[in-house]
Order: sequence, then C-alpha cells, then structure tokens
Amino acid sequence: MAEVTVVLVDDHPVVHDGVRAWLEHDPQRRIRLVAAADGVEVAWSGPGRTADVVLLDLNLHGTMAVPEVSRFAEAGRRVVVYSEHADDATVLAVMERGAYAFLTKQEARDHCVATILAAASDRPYVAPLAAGTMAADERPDRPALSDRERTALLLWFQSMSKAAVATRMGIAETTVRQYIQRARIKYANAGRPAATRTQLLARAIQDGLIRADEVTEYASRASRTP
Amino acid sequence: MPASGSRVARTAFARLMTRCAAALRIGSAVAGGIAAFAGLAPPASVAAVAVAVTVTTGWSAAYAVLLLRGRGGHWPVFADAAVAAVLGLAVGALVPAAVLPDTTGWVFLYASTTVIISPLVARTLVGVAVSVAVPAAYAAGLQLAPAVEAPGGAVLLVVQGVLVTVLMVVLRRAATAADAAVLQREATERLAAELAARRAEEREHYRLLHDSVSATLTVVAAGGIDAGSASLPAQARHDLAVIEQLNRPDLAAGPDLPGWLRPVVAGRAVTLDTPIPAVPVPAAVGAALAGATTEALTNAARHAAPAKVQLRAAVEPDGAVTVLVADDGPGFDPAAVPASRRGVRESLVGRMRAVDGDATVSSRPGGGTHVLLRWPGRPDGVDDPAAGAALGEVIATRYRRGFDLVVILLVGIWHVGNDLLVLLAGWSDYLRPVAELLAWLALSAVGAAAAVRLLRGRTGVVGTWLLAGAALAAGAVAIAAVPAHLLFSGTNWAWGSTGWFGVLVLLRRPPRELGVFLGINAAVALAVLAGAGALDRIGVARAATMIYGTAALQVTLLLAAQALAATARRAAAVAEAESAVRRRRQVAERLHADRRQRYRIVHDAVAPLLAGLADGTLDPADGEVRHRCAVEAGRLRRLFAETDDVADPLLHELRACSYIADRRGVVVDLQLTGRLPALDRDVRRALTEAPLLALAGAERRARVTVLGRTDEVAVSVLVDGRGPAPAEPVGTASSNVTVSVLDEEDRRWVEARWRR
Repeated sequence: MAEVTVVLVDDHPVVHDGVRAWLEHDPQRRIRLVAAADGVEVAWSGPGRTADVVLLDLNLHGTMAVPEVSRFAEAGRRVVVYSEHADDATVLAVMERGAYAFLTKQEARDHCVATILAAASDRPYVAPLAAGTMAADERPDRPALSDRERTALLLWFQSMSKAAVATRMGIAETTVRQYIQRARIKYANAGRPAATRTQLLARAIQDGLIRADEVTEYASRASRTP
Repeated sequence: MPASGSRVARTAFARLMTRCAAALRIGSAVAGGIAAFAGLAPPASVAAVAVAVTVTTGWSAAYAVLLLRGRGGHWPVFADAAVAAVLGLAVGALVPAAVLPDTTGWVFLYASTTVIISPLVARTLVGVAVSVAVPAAYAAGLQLAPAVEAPGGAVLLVVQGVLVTVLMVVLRRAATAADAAVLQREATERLAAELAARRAEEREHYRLLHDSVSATLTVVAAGGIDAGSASLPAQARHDLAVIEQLNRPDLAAGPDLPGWLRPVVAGRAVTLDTPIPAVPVPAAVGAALAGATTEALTNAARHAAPAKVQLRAAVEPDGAVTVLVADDGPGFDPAAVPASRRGVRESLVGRMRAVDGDATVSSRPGGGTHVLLRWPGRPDGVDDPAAGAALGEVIATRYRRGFDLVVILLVGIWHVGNDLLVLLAGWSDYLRPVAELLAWLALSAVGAAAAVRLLRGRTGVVGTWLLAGAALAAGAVAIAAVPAHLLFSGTNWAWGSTGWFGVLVLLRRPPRELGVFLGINAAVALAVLAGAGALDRIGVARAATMIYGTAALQVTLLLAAQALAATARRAAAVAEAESAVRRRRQVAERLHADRRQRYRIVHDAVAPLLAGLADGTLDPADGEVRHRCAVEAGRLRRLFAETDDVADPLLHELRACSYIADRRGVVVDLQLTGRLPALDRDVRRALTEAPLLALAGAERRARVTVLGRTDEVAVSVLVDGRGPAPAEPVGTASSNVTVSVLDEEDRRWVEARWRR
C-alpha cells in the first residue's frame, strides 16, 4: 500500500508535534504529514492541496470550523475532525456534513492512525465517543439502527476494545467491526449530499456493507419533518 | 373555644358579628325607650309603655350578655324574637296613632333590630324563621290596632331580614374560603420547613462524617498508614463516637446555647470568660455552632498547644449570637493557607453559612488565633412573624371581596326594589316628581361609580368626596320634593337611602367620614322637617327614631367591614402560631426517622471496619482492608453527594465515587453521551454501586462512561485492576438495573444498565 499523506489544520503548535509523534509511533510509518498550519488555507494550496486526508481541529482561533467541514466534503476531501468540543450535537453535525470521522483529543493518540488509514481508503472508522453518540442518538429523524448495531456501538464506547465487545456479544471480532461500520454508513446515507458521502457509500457497496438499492436520496431536515 | 387551624377565619368572623349584634340590640332598646317616652301620645298609655320599655331594655341587656358569653345556643335568639313578636302584637297600645302606618315608631325599631341581628348570630334557617315570624306578628298587631289599613312596616321587616340573611351567607362563604386558603398555605409551608430542616440536619451530619470517618477511611485506602500507627486506633474510636452521635435522640427539639456548647467544652483545656448565655437557638444553628466550635478548639489544641485557649459566647445588642475561640499560641499567616483547604473553609465558614451565619478566622504570626462564629439571630422560617401578616392579608382580601360585592348588591337591590317602586307609586304625591326622579337617577349614577371604584380599590379622598357630595345633594333635592305630611312615610325614601349610598362611597374611608356624611344627611332632613313645621314633640321623637334606625345599621356595617381586616390579621396570627407548633412536631418526627435511617446505613457499613482498626484486629496496610476502606469511603462520598442540588445527580454521584480512586492516584476519565433522564435515588444507587466497587480496585487508570437515553441508562467502568473483592454487588440489584462483569487478563469491565 502506498504511503498516505495527511495535512494538519490546528492552531496549537504543540499539537503539531504531538500528531507527528503519533504518526511516527506507527511501526510501518504508513502516514506522512506533508503540511501543517493554523488555518484551512494550508489544505487548499501547496503540498496540502493533494494530501489524501485533512486532519482538522474544529476549534480554530476561537471559532467552530463546522462550515469548513462542508467545503472540504463538497470538494471530495477526506476530512477527519478532532476536537475538545465533543458534545453530541457537534459530533452528529460534523458527520452529517460529510466528515469521515470524529475524534476527541484524548482519542486521537490511540485512534488517529487507524482513522486516517481508513479514511484514505474511503472506509469509515468510528472512535469510541462517536460510537457512544450514535448509540445515544434519540433524534426523531435518526437513521434506523438494528439492536445489534446499537449494542456494538455502546459496548465499543464503553470498552475501547473490539475483542472485549466480541466476547460480550458472543460473536467474532470482524462481525463487531461490521456492525459498527454499517451503523456509520447508515449515518452517511442520511447525511447531506457531498462528494465524500458518495465516495464513502460507493466503497461501502463494494465492501458489501450496504446494497446499492438501499442508498437513499438526501432529503433536507425541513422536508422530512411532517 | 380555641380556634383550630381550619376554622380561624370563621371563628373570628362569628365573634365580630356577635359583638355587632349585642351593640345594635342595646343601642336600639335604649334609643327606642327614649323615643317611646319622648313621643308618647294616644292610644299609647304611660303604663303600657313603661312596662314594655322596662321589659325590652332589661331583656336587651340580658341578651347582649348571653350573646357575648356565647351562652344558651339558639334559645336567646328565639326569646328575642318572642319579645319582638309580643311587642309587635301590642303595637297598637305602644305608639301614637300617627306613627302606626310608617316605620318611625319605637316598636318598629325594636322589631327591625331583631330581624337584622338574628341572622348575624344564628344559623341561616333560624334567621329566616325570625324574618318571617316577627313581621307576621307586627302585621297582626297593625291589624288589631284601629284605623290602619296597610301592612306598612311589616313588609319592610321581611325585606330587611332577607337581605341581611343573604349578606351573612356570602360572608360566611368568604370565611370558609379563607380558612381553606389558610390550610393550603399551611400544608405548603410545612413541606418547605420540613425539607429545609431535613436538609440542614443531613448536611450537618455529613459534615461531621466528612471530617472524621470519611477522612480516616480515605487515608487508609490511599495506603498512607501502616500497622504500627499510634494515632489510627484513637482516631477510629473517635470516629465510632461520631457515628453514635448521628443517633443522638431528638436533635431537633433543640437545647439552648449552653446545651449545645457545654458538651463541646467538657474535658478540654479551655477557659470560659463568662457563663454561656442561656438563649434558645434553632436546632440547625445550635448544631452548626457546636460543630464549628469543636473544629476551632481542635485546631487550637493541634496548632497552638500548650497555649491558653479561651471561649466566650455572647448575645450582641443586635440579637446576634457570637462564639469567640481565642488562643495566645504562635498564630499563622492567613495568606499562606491555600483557599481550597477544606478544613477551615468547609468546617467553619460552610457550617455557619448554611444557617445564614458566618465565621471569621484572624491570626498573625506570633499574635495568636481568633475564630469568631456569628449567627445574626434571625428567627428561622418556622417562627417568621411576617408569615402571620401575609396570612392576615390572605384572609382580609377574601373578606373584602365578598363584603364589597354584597354591599353593592344590597344597595342596588334596595335602590330599585324599594326606592324606585315607592317613587313611581307615589308619583302624584311629590311636590316636584321630575326632580324626585332626577335625584333617584343621580343617586344611581353615584352608586355605579362608587361600585366601580370599590372593586378597583380606588379610595382617594377627592374622588370619594365628590361622589359623597353628589349623593348628599341628590338626597337633599329628593327630600325637599316630599310634601310635609309624607315626610315620615316611605314616600320619603331618600332619607334612609342616601345613607346607604354614603356607606357604599365611604366603605374604605375612616368611620368619622361616614359620621359627617350621615350628620349632613340628617341635618338636611331636619331642616326640611322644620321648614314644613313637622318638628313638634312627636315629630322630634319620630325623626330621632328614623335617624337612629337607619344610621345605626349603616355605621355598624361600615365598622364591621373595617374590623374584619383587623380581625383577619389577629386570626392569622393565631393560625400561624398553632400551625407552627404542628409543623414543628411533624418536622421533628420526620427528622427522627431520617436520622435513624442514616445512622443504620452508616453504622452497619462502617462500624465493623472502624472497630477492627481501633482494636488492631484489622491491618491498615493490608490490601483487602484498604480495598474495604476505599469502598466504604466511596459510599460515604456518594451519600454526601446525594444531598447536593445539582442538575445531573447521577454524574455528580459518579464523580463522588471516583474521588477516592483519584485520591489513590488513579487517572479517571469520565465520558458522557446522550441525555440523562431523571432517576430516583434508589435507581442511582443501584447504578453506581457496581462501578464504585470496580473503581475501588483500579490501580492506575479507569474509564467511566455514561450513556443516557429516555428509557435507558448505561454506566460502565473499565479498570486496570481487579482488587480483592468481587465486582458484582451483593443484594443491591434493583428490579430495573442489571449488572454485567467481564474480566480479561488484567482488565475488569463492569456495566450497570437501567431500563425503564
């Protein structure tokens, strides 16, 4: 597999060093940080323009960069959002706008390599807190998850170990992975139209997570409300 | 009879009405007696009038006494009706012939008073019976007398009786409604007082435990003590004594200040400058002062020994209670003590602030330490004098509204039902009928305006007297249009009615203003009478009877309206005092029950552990002992957290459970998703118990997650150590909470899940 390139948008220089260290922790060094800056421009020009994945800190200089997520997603850029603001509404809004994944800053250390690699191949990766958020989702227009999918999300949120979830559920670890990814794809299916959404769903169809006839046209929240 | 909480307003109202009745009875008997002799003329004879007046005045005095003493039940009412009836039957022999057809005779005055006061003091049906029987006898008396055709005053008597009966029905309802309001308010306040008292005592108990038992267990759990510790057994024994304190019988009944402080001082090296003043203090305040004083003395013994420690308790001129603990030890620099140190902040300041008091600690290196505890001496909510006043307003407002409506209604009915009919019936008799009608209309307008002002609460002097002047002028015009021979008859309706409009206009003004109004009205009538040459000896007696007969009732009504407010306030004070006693008793009972329960929880869990530490059979360095201490310290922390008012109690209590792990150096990561539904304390305890046990076994890291949905809550703990105890709680599984445990290598994963 070719080297994956990533561009980092974060306004904390310390975090730049941290991310570099986390990526270097990967024994196979599969990911290379090609550019890093405190503004989104770095991902639109120079080496950042062609990076496979954009790692975006949601809180840039005191403003929430949620609209930036939409711009990246519409351009087909694979965005992984990480933030200290991990309230349920933010997590769901970021996924709805076409980000591939959401990480809290505590999770980034353990999960950023796996998340970036998955994103580079247009596959979803669900970190524990985002899993908990989906399991707790009670909005009336939320995607319909199966009981097993929701249980897998909840247990993953609690234990951070898919092997432990598999033991608890009495199923294989790959099945746990499948439940979690399928749940994530259902959220993508309900998300706004964006190039990234199309890429995610296309890959999910190839991987057999969802059938082509299950892909639905996006209906805006307003028209979905009776 | 002492008024009970539910009958205060009715009882006070009944007492006021009884006084009015007694006053009216005696007043009319005396006025009637004078008029009887002053206006004596055939067919009335001196002998008959003398006998009748003697009997009526004597009986009236006796009746008044019976009424005021509440004797005889309904019998005095019937007896008075009998006297009035006999008098009515004999009316032909007791008043001059000229007076018989109209309502200016003294016998009419007596009978009228009887039908008016009977409904005031008797039940509705009795009042109605009197209102029928007395006029019937009067009508019969008129029939027996020669040369009288019309039933005359008999009809008026019936009308008077019926109107007063209606008035009483409405006012008694107002009184009942006021009583209901009192009861409702009492129930609400009792609940509030009970909650406040329970909270205060609970917090005080938890403060005691926090500073002793909880601190000891936390230190042992953290591994800071080895088996050879000399201080641990003593501390454990002290902690056991603290637990026993929780069971102290009836803390709430409250000793006075010496009762609280003497046990604290006993056996300590402290000098009392002056005796402790024997002032009563609320239980919560006494407990706070005792707890804070203990803390101050302990600190002094710890840091200032062997310095001299003095204690002075005093009541300041402003009523504040102060306790000063002063030592001449080395002192310290207050700026050098971190603000977060819980000892001083929570134990002294926190305790005192919880009862609206305060604590100040002043010290300087080399200058000793002064701890001043101060409670401002405000009575607690239970004995709040303002509460009685507010209750008085509740009752007074109820009365006022009822009274206003009734007065407006009665004046309106009278003005149409009597005045207008009389006016139209005697149209051709008036000197100037049109002027008479215009005067009637003017009075109607005055009445309407006065009614609106009354209901809107307008009582300004200018507006009031503009209306009063208009009423007097209209009355004068109406009286002046009556021919001389009909001045004492019903045709002269304006004489009496003007006074009623005066009552309506001046209901909220000082009584003397109605006095002035009625005086002017009487002067106008007398002037017209004098002008018509009608003021001979009999005429004066008739005029006096007429003036007294109308004015007495009008003045009484106004005085009663105004006395009601004062009565309501007095009644409220009584109700407040009585309900405070009831409240206090019930609060004390609840406190006692709470205390027993709390004691049992703490005693059963912690006492064996402390006893083992005290007598050395448990080794504080042993892993299992430390684990038990961590579990019990966590449970105590959770118990303390349960008394706090927070938005998310489950999270708050989980943080309390995590606190001990944190103190042991475990890094705890707490994550929440979703929204937590409101959960009962028992469900929260069941949800936190297994996580608490798991946290007690954590070594370096713990992940706590909470997921909330409308119908489901999952609390999970992932720890890197198992501890010596099983993770699954024994005997705490609540019906809707299930616990699952997964042990893997060196990790333990525990989940407690509640489903609605």
